[in-house]
Amino acid sequence: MMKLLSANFFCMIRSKRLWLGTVFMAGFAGLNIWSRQRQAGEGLDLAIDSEIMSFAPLLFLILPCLCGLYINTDYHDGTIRNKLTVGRSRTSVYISNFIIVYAVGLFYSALYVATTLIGGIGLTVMDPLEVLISSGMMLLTILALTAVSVFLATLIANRYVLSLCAVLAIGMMFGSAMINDMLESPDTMPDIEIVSYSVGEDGMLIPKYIDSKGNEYTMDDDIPTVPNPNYIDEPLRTILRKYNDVSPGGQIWEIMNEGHTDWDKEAQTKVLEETPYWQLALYSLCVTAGFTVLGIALFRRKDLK
Amino acid sequence: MKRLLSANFSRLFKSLWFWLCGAGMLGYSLWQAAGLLSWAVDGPWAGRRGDFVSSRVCDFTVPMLLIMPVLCTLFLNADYHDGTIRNKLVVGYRRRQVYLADFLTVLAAALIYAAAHVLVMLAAGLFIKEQAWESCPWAADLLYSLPYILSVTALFTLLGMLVRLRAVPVIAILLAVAMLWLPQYLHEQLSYPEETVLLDGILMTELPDGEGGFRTAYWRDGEEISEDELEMAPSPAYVEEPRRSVYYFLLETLPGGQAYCLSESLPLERHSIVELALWSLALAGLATGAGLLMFRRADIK
Repeated sequence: MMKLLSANFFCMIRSKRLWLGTVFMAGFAGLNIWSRQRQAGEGLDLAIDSEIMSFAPLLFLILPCLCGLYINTDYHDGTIRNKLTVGRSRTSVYISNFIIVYAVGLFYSALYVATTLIGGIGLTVMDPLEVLISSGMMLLTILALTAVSVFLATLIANRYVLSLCAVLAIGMMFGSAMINDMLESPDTMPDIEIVSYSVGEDGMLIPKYIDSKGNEYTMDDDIPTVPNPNYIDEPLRTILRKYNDVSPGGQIWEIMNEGHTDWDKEAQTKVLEETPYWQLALYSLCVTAGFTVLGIALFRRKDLK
Repeated sequence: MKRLLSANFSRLFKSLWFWLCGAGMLGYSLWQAAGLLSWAVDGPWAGRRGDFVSSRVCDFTVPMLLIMPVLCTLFLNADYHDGTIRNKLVVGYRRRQVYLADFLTVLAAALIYAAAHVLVMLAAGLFIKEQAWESCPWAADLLYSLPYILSVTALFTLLGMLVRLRAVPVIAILLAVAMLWLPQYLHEQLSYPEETVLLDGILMTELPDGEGGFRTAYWRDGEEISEDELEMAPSPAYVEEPRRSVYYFLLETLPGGQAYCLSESLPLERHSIVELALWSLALAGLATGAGLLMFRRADIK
């Protein structure tokens, strides 16, 4: 296992992709903090909390691509057979790949945060503890994402797994953002066809609302409501919510936005809800363990020709 | 050339990726159509006469920018990977013929996807009783989206034909995401107002306006002042000229921004739709020209 790890490590260090990603992460962090410094110079607020945590969405897009490339190269060059021929077990090959990919993720995060901190000299971190906890949670989410991409990249030997990993990362991230948007929409909406304004005696504007049946209203509260077709009904609502709690894509938004907006049907208002961190952590660990165990089981039976 | 094309097409229609990408696009179209129908058939728009379909006919532009990099690079890269590109050259085809045939093949795939979306939306329109067909400007919109399709395809054909790395699909997809992210960022930057209200020493309260609503009142040194008396200051976040023009140019003429402008997700402020089409044609011409030149010198082992 140690030999495999050190072989992986040297292979990774010598690959151009790793350094390309390094340049990309550092460059993006630099740009981000530079624009922040410019804003701060103009008197806007000085906190860099969100700049530090923005390593996660970027890593979310890059790490699966890198994972796909790294593991697929082993298949492409046939080196995976060498590893097995010299007597390493398939389990240790799988786990050492997993470890090295996640180590790169940690390295990238540290690099991004370091660049942001160095570039952000003169600005403040408002809530260091919160930033630390959130970053830790995001790293757990990235662990789950790594498990999923290692699973795919190990079990599919074809070249197309590279695209699959990239599409998976993008799809998870933006799919979950879309789901969050969909769950926000209210179940009813005011039935307003036209709004017209007239000027009252004191010069104030008085709005007048006309609904689809031609009735006129002057008070906001009197306007009749109609069902909103965009509202997601049960049971789909619970399923989508659960998916966003469990999947890495949903978790990353949950942690970045410090909760999600939901529509409270009884109170008829939007409410900010938070899934507790222990739940998110538990889901991440379950996803990681589930995909890794399943991956190893399937990889042991895989025909490597 | 004809034989090259027919060989390419038979490979395209047998390729799993063509059908998977198509299924993705079709899924998007059906989802959009279902959303439209839920509003217009028994939702809040029911019984209202209007043109519901036109603004949605060109909505394929954004998903197309995500689908084409996958299709172009995977389909074209397979030629290198299987070594079939050498066979084509060995039997006597010129390199530019090979390049153009490949370009036309993926272009046809893009047009098929676009046509499928248009058909789905028009079919959805048939289910809406109150759809006003006589005033549909969608045909013109569609015409202007053709150069966009051309430029996107030309760009990713260039990438797929010239880069033979295994990583090229990943690069293409990340490029497409960056292209879609840039206009959103620019739009956010451009939307900062020129002036902001100076609120130092000003107290804001909400007072009843006598009609059941509320109005905002501003107080300075204990006296109420009207909204016109507030001091304004230039906003530091406002993007000045000439940077503003550059931002608008990048926002509206690059394929990423055009994808939003053509599907009416972002407003078109500085350039006309004809200019967008011309820029697209120029980009397509540039990409294909550069591709033909570089492909002639490419070392195909």
